Amino acid sequence: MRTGTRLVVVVALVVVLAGVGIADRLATSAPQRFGAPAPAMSVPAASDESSAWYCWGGGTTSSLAPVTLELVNTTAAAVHGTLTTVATSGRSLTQAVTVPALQTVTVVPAVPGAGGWLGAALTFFGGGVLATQSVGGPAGWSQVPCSRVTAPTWYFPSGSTADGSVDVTLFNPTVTDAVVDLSFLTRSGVLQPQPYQGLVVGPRQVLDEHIGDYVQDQTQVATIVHARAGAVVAGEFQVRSDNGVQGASLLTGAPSPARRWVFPASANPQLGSTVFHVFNPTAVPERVTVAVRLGSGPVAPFVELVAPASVWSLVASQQTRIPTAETFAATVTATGPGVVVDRVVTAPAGAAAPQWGTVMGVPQVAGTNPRIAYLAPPGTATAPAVSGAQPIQLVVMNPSPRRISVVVQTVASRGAALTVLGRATLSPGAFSVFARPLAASGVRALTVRGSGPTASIEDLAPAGAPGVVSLVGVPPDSG
Amino acid sequence: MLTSLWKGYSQVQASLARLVASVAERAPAVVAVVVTKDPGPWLEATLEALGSQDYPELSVLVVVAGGTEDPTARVAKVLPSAFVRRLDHEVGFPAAANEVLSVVEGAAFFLICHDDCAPAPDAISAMVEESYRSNAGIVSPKFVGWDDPRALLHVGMSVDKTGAVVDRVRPGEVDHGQHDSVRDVFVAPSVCMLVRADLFAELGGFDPAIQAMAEDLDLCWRAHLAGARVMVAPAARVRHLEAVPGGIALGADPSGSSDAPSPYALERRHELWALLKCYSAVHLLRVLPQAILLNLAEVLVAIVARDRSRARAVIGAWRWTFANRSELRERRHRAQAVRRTPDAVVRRLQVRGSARLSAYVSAVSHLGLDVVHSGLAVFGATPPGAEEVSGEPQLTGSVGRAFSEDADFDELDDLSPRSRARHRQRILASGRSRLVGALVVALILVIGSRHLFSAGFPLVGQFLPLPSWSGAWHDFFASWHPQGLGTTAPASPAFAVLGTVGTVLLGAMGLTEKVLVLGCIPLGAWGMSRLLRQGGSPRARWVGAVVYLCLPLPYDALAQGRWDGLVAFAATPWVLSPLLAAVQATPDPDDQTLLGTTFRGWRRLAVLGVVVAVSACFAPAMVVVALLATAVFAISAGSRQARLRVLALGIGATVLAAALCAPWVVGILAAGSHAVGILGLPIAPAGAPGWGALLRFDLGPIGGSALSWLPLFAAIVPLLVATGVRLRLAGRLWLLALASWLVALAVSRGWTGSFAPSIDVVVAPAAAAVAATIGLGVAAFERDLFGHQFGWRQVVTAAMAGAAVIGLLPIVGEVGNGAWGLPSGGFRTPLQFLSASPHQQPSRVLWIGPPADLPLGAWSAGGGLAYAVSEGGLPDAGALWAPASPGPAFSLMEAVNLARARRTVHLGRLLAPAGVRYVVVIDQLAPDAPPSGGGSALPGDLIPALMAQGDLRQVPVVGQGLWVFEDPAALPLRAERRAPAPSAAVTTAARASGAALHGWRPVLAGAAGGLRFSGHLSAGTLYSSAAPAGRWQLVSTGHVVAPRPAFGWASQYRVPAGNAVLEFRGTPLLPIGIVLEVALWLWVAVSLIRRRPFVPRWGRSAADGVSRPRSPPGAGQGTSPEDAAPAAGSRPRHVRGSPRPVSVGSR
Repeated sequence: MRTGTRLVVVVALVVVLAGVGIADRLATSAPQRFGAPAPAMSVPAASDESSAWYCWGGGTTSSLAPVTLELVNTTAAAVHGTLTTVATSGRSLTQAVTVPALQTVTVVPAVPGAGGWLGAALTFFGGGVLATQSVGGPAGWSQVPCSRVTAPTWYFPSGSTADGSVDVTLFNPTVTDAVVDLSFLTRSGVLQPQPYQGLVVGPRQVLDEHIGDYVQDQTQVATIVHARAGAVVAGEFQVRSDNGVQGASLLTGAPSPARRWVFPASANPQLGSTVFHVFNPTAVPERVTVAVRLGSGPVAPFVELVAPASVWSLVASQQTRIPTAETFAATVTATGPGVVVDRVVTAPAGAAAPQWGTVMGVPQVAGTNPRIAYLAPPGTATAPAVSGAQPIQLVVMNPSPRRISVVVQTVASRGAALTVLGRATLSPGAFSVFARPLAASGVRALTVRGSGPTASIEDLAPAGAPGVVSLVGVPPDSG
Repeated sequence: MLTSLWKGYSQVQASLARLVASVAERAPAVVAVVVTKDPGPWLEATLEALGSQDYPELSVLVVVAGGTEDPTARVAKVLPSAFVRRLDHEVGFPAAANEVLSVVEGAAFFLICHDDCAPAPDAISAMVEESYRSNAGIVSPKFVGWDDPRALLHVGMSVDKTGAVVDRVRPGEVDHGQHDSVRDVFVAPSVCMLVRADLFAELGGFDPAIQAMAEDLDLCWRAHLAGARVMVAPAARVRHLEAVPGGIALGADPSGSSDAPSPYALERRHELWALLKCYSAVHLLRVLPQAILLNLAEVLVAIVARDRSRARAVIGAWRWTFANRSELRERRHRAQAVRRTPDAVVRRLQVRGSARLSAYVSAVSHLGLDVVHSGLAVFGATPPGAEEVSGEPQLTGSVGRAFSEDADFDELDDLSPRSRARHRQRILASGRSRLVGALVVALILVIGSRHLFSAGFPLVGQFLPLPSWSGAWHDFFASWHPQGLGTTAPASPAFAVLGTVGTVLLGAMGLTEKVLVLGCIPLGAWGMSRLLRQGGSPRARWVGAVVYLCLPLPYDALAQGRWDGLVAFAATPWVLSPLLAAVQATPDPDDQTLLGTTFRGWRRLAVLGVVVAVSACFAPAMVVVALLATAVFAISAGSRQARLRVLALGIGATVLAAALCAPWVVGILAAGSHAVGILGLPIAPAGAPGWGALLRFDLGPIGGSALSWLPLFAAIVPLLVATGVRLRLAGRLWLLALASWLVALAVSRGWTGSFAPSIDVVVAPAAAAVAATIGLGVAAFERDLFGHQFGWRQVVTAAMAGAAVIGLLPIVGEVGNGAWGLPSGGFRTPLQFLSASPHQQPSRVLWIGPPADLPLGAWSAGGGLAYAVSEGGLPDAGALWAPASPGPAFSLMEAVNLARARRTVHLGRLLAPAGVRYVVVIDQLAPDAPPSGGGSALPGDLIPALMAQGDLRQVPVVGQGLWVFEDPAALPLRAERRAPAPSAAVTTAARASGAALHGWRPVLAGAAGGLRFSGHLSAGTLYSSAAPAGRWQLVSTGHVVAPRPAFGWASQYRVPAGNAVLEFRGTPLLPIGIVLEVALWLWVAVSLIRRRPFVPRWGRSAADGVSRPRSPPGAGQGTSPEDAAPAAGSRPRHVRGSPRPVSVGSR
């Protein structure tokens, strides 16, 4: 073989080896873990073998914000299950529950033994049930969906022990011991009080920790719950009572950071404030963008580099580009592993109580594409669980890049057919407010169906301003 | 006065004369006994030599031990005074020599001699004088060459404790007088020995049970027992022709059978005979076990080296001795009857240690394994014309064989200091330097593996504890296995391999595991050396083998506990070698078959089939390797005939391998779409190696260095500089490497779907190709660049050689680890509690994790996840090879997937009917293993899903990458209660109440994997969770109880109170199939052994495989002087250095 031919062969060989390597590198994206983390809140499919909801919040006496559970059966068949109630005293009680087809059932958990904080595990032999928990007391009221998952880590972006109280509740609905550490990120730095390290939460046990005992006078407290062993459901119950501003808030933590959070509707109340807390619990800096869209269109986004283990508080009410009292949608996007975002709305002291409330954003988990959302306000139209509770407005947003149409319906109550409360067509990023038909329907479980992904939030009264008491839509597992 | 004085002087002189005359008359009579049969022309020379002796009292007796020729006339013509006694029947040399006892009286000495020895005129006088001087019973002369008296043959012989005779002189040693001192020896060769007549009579002469060979050992040993000295008198010189060892036609079986034992076999037989006769009982107790062990080791080595002559000789010796045990008892009684000397005294004359072992090691180190073993064959029944068969190189590829091909090797002993210096300048040019290099490499390997020798392997990857040797056989023959929820699929023949090796190693299964695991590494290097016979020089073979050893592939497999990777490393060169030979071979014009000559083709096919079968038992993806290589070589073949030949060989061998594993293969094929899973399971993208890692063979913790790229570039050298066969070989090997890498990449990226052969296995041909091409580069440098002017070729070659050397350093750097990165602590400790279950019955464990991390055979669960089910806690190697189909165990993973999809929170309840008490999730090789660079291969939703289950309790365990969940509701594998179980799917109502799972009580206890359980049952329902349900029969109170389905796949029985037996009832098809399989193995083995021609493998060109005729060793040991004549002068160089059994052919 001639030398030239040899060189051609060798060059061709090297080109093939290098070419395949380059093509492989280009064709192969960074390895990703199979399966996205499960959302903490979603309605199980009707065909599921079994499902469970873990409700962590609520006291057993009037002073401790009594808890009420709302169970909405989204399927056409009755669903049977059990409700196991656990008190911080360690006692538990199990009772059977049945949710009739397309019905809402309000359950006031039986109190096992003496009082204390409650945890409730709902286990259904089948799927299709949405469970939410609500508390009401002298300070105000709040409602949040229960959690469908246990997790070793939970994140809470905000809290204050300076002008209110913060209770972290740890509920272990599993049969495995959990050992939990609590860490707090404050303006003074990271606090890890010794009493909150190595907390043992036994099987079917609930712990309530009043963190103000060891994290005192901190106006900004982000909390990390980390289970060294086992898994828990973690929630935060905050009470605000300061300068005539009162409120209570149930906040289920985020089990993992997400790259995108959506707040379908917010508004800067007159003389009040709206603050977004962006918590970066990861070890890398996050470039965070908050995109705000008014009804008239988008405004220039807010961009911030959020350092690791830090919180960026975006006070929307101080941003001149966001008009006061105008509803706007906010989308928080991170470029790294993700952040956790909540929103705190404070109404003026003279407004109707409660004047203060917190809500977690709707995480947009990659790979999920929820077209349907369920919202279950407390109680029913004829028997609201919270005195005077009624919807103010429902806002549906289109987080997708395509135009979608949405339909808002009621989840049919006994003997009644589905009632369409409204329809809308949404361009990308736009939102639509459903207020009047909602007010007319009273407290009823709703279904939002879109031709594409939707994000929805319902503002409830009595409250000092829209956003003080809000309820986000919960998508079904099947999307 | 003067007259009287003169008379007186005359009288004195007369008296002295009379005195001298009388003294002369009183010289002790010596009778020379010449044993002959159909003598050659050398007889006259022998007789003339005896006739010219200066010893006055010598008589000559010629004993004709049968034969067709009557030599009386010839004797009379040369030595008329000689006596001739012709025996009318054929006897051996000892029996013929013993005739002297019956026909001669009054002699003081007998001179026993062959008919091809010629004593010097003063030899007998010298021996007689020495006999008197030393009071010796037997005297041996110094034997020198027939034609060259300077060539020293024997000066007495020694023996070791096992009766192995060792010569005191080295072959070819020149007589400079260095042995000219009178001394005691143990053996006087029977070629020519002077023995005192009374001693000879007392001992009863030679042992007539000995036909030939070692009769002198036996006689001398008994003489020692009798207190007689055996001396050598070097002053007596005897020329010896060595024409007919033993003095008569060796191996002449009176029956004329062609199966007559070879001289070597006779020697081994009679040495053992002498040992058993002559030692006292106490000494025998001490020595015999050592002899047995040495013989056993020798047989094993001989089998491995395919030296059937040696193996047959050793085994035959014991068999013959056992068959003649009654005669042995009698002979032993006689031998011990003359004992006057204790064994302790006798043994002072023996050499220490094992003479045979020492000689063997020396020969191997000098000549190579194959030469040593082939050398023995020349004493066997070489078929006529065998020496003409030299076409196809048949030598094995041992390093030692490579040494023997070196032209300079035989000159080493004579190298002057100047030439030694010249020799040192040529790296690895000499056999000795390559041997030293090989020893250094071996030492590095041993040091690098030092921690693996001392303790058992940790429970990492597939390194599971082996079952006992009987357990392995049971697993092979069993009709039912507990894998999954129970299967009737035939077991892998790997169990038979484990059972065989374990049995040979006397049940030491720990040793068996180490031999099999660690043996793969040198076996692979050996295979590479063999592969490079084609186109490679000895140095190239050495380099290729070392490069192959220094690729990360086997060490990554070792570090990850991968049997398949190690087996692929070991077997791939052996698979490629015959395929390459088939595609390279020059067609025989007389051969119209596709595979070459009938025998050669069959042998090549059978050997390849056996290699593929054995390797595929452990690593089924080896079938893919064989077919891939076949396809690549067929495509790259130069001619249609070569293409057809390699296709026929590759496909035929694969078919043969399938036939050899027939029941297992049938079971796999019966699994339908699951069958491809047996080759390997898809892996998760997170843990999959990329293109760069594949090219560097970086499939584990070793090999990640950037230096690992360098061997790849060095492998390009032959494409630049090689010519002829080396260039063609390099081209084909590069094509194979590319194909191998591309297939591995496709599997790694998941492009092949469920067809996912193990990457460790699929990439092995690329590793072999890279190593082989580097070896070919060396050969090309030696041969193809020879004569070229210095230029870029030399520069590039030198640079790439340096790159190859540097590229091997990362592996050398891992030597310090001592275990090649194998984690020290496996899962045994953290999971020990699985085996120590306090429950009455063994429960099942559901294992979930990436396929490479699971410590047992598994099935794919999709997405790079795999699952397996074991019974009875920690699995052993019996669980390594899972059946292709999971059977009803599939429902367990369906339940897990239900949990992953968050569609159940009652996974424990779904797993409970299968008796799954533990769910073990594994995400890395070992709790202390470093995390893999690709991150976790576990789906992110798995652990949260399991933790979210309301009826699974997480068990705290030590270590990372390990989660264990306990299902407290798990049913016993065999349980009873009053209410029946649901027959099909568990209803919602039943779930709600938990009624299906409550109230069960364990019964019919038994070990995991048992086939029969018995005990007392209460009236009610018996539940059995063993599949397939229909094959289990319950006999309760003497009646067969019909089974009913439970939970859709298990069985339940309605039983009255009383004793019951639950037993597996298999079909006879599987045992019949296994028997046929074993029979086929035996047939192939026997056919390979019996049909192998007894051709010493000499005729091969070192470089191109071009045959050239050579004389077989032993050409100088024929039966005619024409054969013998050139022995001294023109003997082939191999012969000169070839090992000769120390007491064969020279006595």
